[in-house]
This record gives sequence, structure tokens and C-alpha cells, in this order.
Amino acid sequence: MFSSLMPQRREFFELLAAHSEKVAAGANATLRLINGLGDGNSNAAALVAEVNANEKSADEIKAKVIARLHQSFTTPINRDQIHSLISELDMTLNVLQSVANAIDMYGIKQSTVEAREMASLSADACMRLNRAVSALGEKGRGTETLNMCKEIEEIESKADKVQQKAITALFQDGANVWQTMKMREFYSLQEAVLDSCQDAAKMIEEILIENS
Amino acid sequence: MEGLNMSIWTLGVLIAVALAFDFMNGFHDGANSISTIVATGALTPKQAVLFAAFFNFAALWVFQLKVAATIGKGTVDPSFVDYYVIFGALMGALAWNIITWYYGIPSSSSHALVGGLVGATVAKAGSGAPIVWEGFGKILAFIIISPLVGVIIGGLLMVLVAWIFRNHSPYQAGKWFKGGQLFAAAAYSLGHGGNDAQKTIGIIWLLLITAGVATKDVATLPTWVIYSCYFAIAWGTYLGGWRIVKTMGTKITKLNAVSGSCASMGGAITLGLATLGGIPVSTTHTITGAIIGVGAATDVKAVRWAITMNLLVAWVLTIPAAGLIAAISWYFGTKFL
Amino acid sequence: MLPKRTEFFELLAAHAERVLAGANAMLRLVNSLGSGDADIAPLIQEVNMNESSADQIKADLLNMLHKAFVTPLNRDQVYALTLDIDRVMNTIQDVAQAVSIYHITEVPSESRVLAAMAVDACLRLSRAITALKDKERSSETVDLCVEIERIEEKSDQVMHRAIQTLFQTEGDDQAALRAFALRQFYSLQEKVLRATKASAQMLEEILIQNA
Repeated sequence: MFSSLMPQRREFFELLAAHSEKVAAGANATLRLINGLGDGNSNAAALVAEVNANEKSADEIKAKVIARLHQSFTTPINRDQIHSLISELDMTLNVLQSVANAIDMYGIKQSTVEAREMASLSADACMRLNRAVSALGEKGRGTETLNMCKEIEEIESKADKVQQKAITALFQDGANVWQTMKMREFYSLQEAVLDSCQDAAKMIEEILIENS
Repeated sequence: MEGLNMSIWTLGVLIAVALAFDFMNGFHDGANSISTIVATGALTPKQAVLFAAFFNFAALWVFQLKVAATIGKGTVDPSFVDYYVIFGALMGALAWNIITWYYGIPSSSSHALVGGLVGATVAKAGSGAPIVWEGFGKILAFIIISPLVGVIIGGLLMVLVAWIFRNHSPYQAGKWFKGGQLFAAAAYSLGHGGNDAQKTIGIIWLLLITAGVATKDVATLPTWVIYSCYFAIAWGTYLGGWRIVKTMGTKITKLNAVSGSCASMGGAITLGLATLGGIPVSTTHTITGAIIGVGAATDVKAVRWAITMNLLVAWVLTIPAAGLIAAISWYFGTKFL
Repeated sequence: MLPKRTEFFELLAAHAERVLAGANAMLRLVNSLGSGDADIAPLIQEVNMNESSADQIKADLLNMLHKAFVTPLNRDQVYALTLDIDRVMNTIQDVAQAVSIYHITEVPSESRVLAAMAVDACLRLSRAITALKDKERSSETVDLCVEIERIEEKSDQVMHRAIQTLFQTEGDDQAALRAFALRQFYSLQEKVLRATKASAQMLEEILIQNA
């Protein structure tokens, strides 16, 4: 009754949506980077720079959100939920950055079918994350958002299976031990992106349930 | 004592019981005003009870005896009242208070008293004839009105504060409220003392009218009655009430310094208005209303509606239950006293 | 019923101090590797001792949280913070124990840098927690938390270099085994910094809630 008279502070939703857009853009650049590995005419360095740039501007948005939390008497959803969600989103982009930078770190020259598949799954999950976060402020779109979160969780379990297949291939007889070590680490990082998406999705679900 | 219509002993015992009821009221309700300042850590529990007790007593110098008049002569016709009726009324109110206190339900001592008085009078008269509907009707109406006013004032205060401090964090706003919170609690304790001590003053006044010692003229009311009633409620507040601190401060909704101040202030304003208008209202109802109003503004889910419903049930039951016990007590009183 | 405010914060500070002492011992351990005559056993022992006394403090804190009617900070958050700080201590212990588990006798300079960074982060964590009891010093606490996050970020680059060097030249099986062991060791070192970052974020969250 009185809550509609309180200051609404919708800008928190806008900032969260802007941040998740950077996450989706970062995932997209990572996908292009991995798909282009080894085909000569793609510029890996430029794509890594693109991921890093997205991460940097997302960091700025995160800092703005935290500063705003210190300067607002009211928040549209719980203070700690905003903080948790922005941290989960930021974590997703950080791991994406790790994936992009790991290519140079491990000196990976060729991608595998599984690595490309994992990359496109994480781009899928991040796109849904972006849509879910953007719809968070709209009361009528609760079920739609909830479904998006469920889809993210399905994508994550699909990625689990892809990773299993990839690791099985790595440990076949006659495998190069160095190659196996490097790619094992690389797949772990790719998987961490999806885990982080799933954590963010669960956080969104928690927010929706508490505010429904 | 010439013209005394009852034995001095009976009169003394009944006055003692009335003061005990007053003491119980402080013990029972006084903690409401301190629950928020203790929960937010503004004062230690010990400081807080002293603080509340002081302002309970200070209400003596603030308010006129209008509420006492409503109870003393505006609820039932004093000519129907004898000391069996007063005995029944006090027993009904006391018993109901003890029952609700034991189960930790913040019910209203005021309505228990009014219910007891009406119950015992009706039992004696055998009909509703002695009820002064102007006064009793007002009391009944304010069972609904006072919490609603509490909700509205509490909620609007919260909205106002939220807009004033919209660009500050609750902690920064809380710094401004350090003094405000104590001010609000003091105002609330004043309102509590003013409204509730006067109900006992009203009962003793009624008793003295029955005994033929005083008349309906306020000037005939001895000052020791006024002082001892305010003292009894303050003493009760000082000694009592840890139990209800928990219910009010933490169970209905979570309060911080700012929302706690708005709730106390909302309760204080409502109580003050009622006391100025001579309407006996329940302090418990009023503060619960204000807390709900504040809760509805900050976070609707923060109001634990199940507990609020629990309170509502206690409210509806109080007058009939205390009245019934009072009627039974009156009956046994006439047989054995 | 009402524990003294100070007692509460003193325990938190003491807990963080144990962690710092453990981190210090871990740094000396890592630095001593490869110097030939180093005796690593007493240093590992020192880390373990700090870990068990931190455990004791953690138990006292959790016990107090269960019993207290009013806590100076949000109960759940102090609970989470205590567990986060304890996790830092456990990751430090893991690093110390990995030295003997993986038979690490020599480490590259990046590993020493990572250990020094962990101590840096733990030092700031300890100072941030000491400042926590004073609400007026909350901006100082926030700054320290930001610094911890910066250190963690920088450690990412050190890790990057370390791993790059590790996998640059593919040698024989013996070299692969050594690379594997060091890779694990680096991960454990990185976990210490991750844990300090998580604690810093928890602290920030507490400050936001109590802001």
C-alpha cells in the first residue's frame, strides 16, 4: 500500500541489464575467437582485446552499482541480492576473460570440435542471462524470466556432457601428455563459464521467488 | 470517614488490586516502546526500561484527565456500580492479562479493563441498560480506528523519511535518527503513560464515587490517586517486559533505527491524539498498527502476516473474554465476599 | 544475553591475525625452497599450528553467534565472513602441505611472487577487519577491500606468465611430471588469493547492509 509511494530507484535494473549486456558481448567475442583459431585469417589478439574491453567496462558498471548501493535509502530488490547478482555476473565475465587469455597462456594453436561447442553453449547461456536480467524489473515477465533461467541450467548440463566427451578424447591411448594437460585445463575454464552462468541464473530465480 | 458506603478495608483492597492492574499494564505493555531502541542497539535494555519508565511517569504533567473521565463515568453508569462490580471488572482484566502474557500475545490491557467493567456491570444489572453507549461505542470504534490511524501515520512517516533521505544509505540516515529514535520512544512512552495510567485512575475514581468519597467532579479526585497510578505503571514498565520485546521488535517486522523511529513516532502521535480527545485506546494496537504501516512501506513481505493475524484474534477476543471472566468473578464475589 | 560488542570484533580480528601469521609462515616456506639446506618441516608445522588456533577462534565465534540475542552485525553475514576467512587459512595450509605432497624442491620466481601477494592480501584483510568495529572507518575498510581485489587481479597476470613458461617447451616425461606438479601448486596458490578476494567481497557486502 505504501510501498508504491516510496522512491523506486529503477536505475538499479538498468545498470544490471547494462552489465549483463557486456557479459553477452564478451561471450560472443570469445566464441568468435575460439571458432577462428587456426584458420590463419582471424585476428586472435584483437578478439582477446575485445573480451578484455568488455570486462573492463563491466567492471565500471559494477563499481557504479556498488557506489549507488551506498547512496540509496531504498532499493527495488534487496540490497544484498543486487550485490550478489552483480558479483555473479561479474564472475561470469571474469571467467570468460580467463578462457580468452588461456589461449595465449597455454599456446593453443588449434581448437577442437568440443571446445567450439562449449564456446557456443556459453554464448547461448550468456545471451539468455542478458535477457533474463533485462526483464528482471518487469513484474509481468516473471514466468518468462524463470523459464530463461531453467534453460540456462539445461544448457549447463548439456555442456557437462560435451566436456565429458572432450576429456575422454584427451585421455585416449597415444595422446600427447602436454597437449592433454593444456586442453584439460582449457576445458575446465570453459566449464567454469557455464557454472558461473548457472549460479547467476539461480540468483535470479531466488530474487524472482522472493519478490513474486 | 463519614458517608463511606463500604468498609475501608474493602476499599483499600480494591484500590490495591487496581494499582496492581496498573502495574501489570506497565509490565505487559511498557516494553513496546523500548523494543525498537533495544533491537537497534541505541540503548541497553537496562537503560531503555529506565528511560521508558521515566517518560511513563512524566506523562502526569502533560495530559489532562480526559481518558480517566471516560472510564470513570463515560463507559457505564456509575450508579449501577458497586464494589462487587469493580472487583469483577478487575479480576476479569487481570486474569485475561495474565493469560495473554503467559502465552506472549500482545493483547490490550485497556480493552481487558473496559471489557471487565462492562461484563461485571451487565451481569449485575442483568441487561445492557447501564452501558453508556456514547463512551463505550467510542471505545469500540477506536478498536478499529486506532490501529488504522497507526498504520497510516507510521506508513506516511516512513514514506516521507525515504524521500528526504533518498540519496543516503540507511546507515547515513540512521546517524540523523540517533536522537530521533530516542525522541520518538520518549514520545511514545509519554502517550502510553498518559493513556494507560488514566484508565486505572478512572477505575479508582469510579470506586471512590461508589464509596461516596468523590463525585463526578474532577476536583474531588485526590491527587495521591493520580500520583500512585502513574507511579505504578512506571514501576511495572521498569520491571517488566523482556518477553514482549521479542514479539514486537523482531517478530512482526524487522526494524532498524529509521523505521523504528517512524513506528514509535507514528504510535506516539496516534496515542497523543487519542489521549487529548479523551479516548481510551490500546497502546498495543496502536504501536502494532504503526509497525505494520512502516513494514508495508519498506517491504510488505517483512510484515509477518501470520503473527499479525494472531494479534487480531487476541483483539477480537479480549473484550468478550475479559467480560465473561468479570461476570463470573462478580457472581462469586457476591456469594463469598 | 548481550555479548560485549568489543569481544565480538576482537575475536574476528584475532581470527584474521592467525590467518596472516599462517600466510607469513607459508611465504617463508616457499622462499626457502631451492636454497639447499632449508628445513621445511618446522615451517609446515608453523602453518599447521596457526591453522588449528584459527579453528579454535572460529569455533568460539560460531558459538557466540548461536548464543547471542543481538549481534553487532547481521548474524548470517558474520557467519559467512567467519567461514570465508577460515577458508583462506585452509587454502594456505593446502599450499604448505602441497610442498611435501608434490615433492616440490624448487619453485620459479613467479611462485614466490604469488606467495608474497598472498601475504599482502592477508595483511590488508586483517587490517580491514580490525577497522570493521569502527563504523566511521568504513571507507578505510572499503579501500582495503578494493586493494585486495586489485592484488588478486594482478596475481592473475603472474599466474598467466608462470603457466606460459611452464608449458612453453614440451620436454620428456620427467619434465611433464614436474610441470604437472607445479601446475597444481600454482592453482593452490591462486586459491589463497581467490579466498581473500571472496572475504573482501563479503566484507563489502556487510558494509553495504550496515550502510
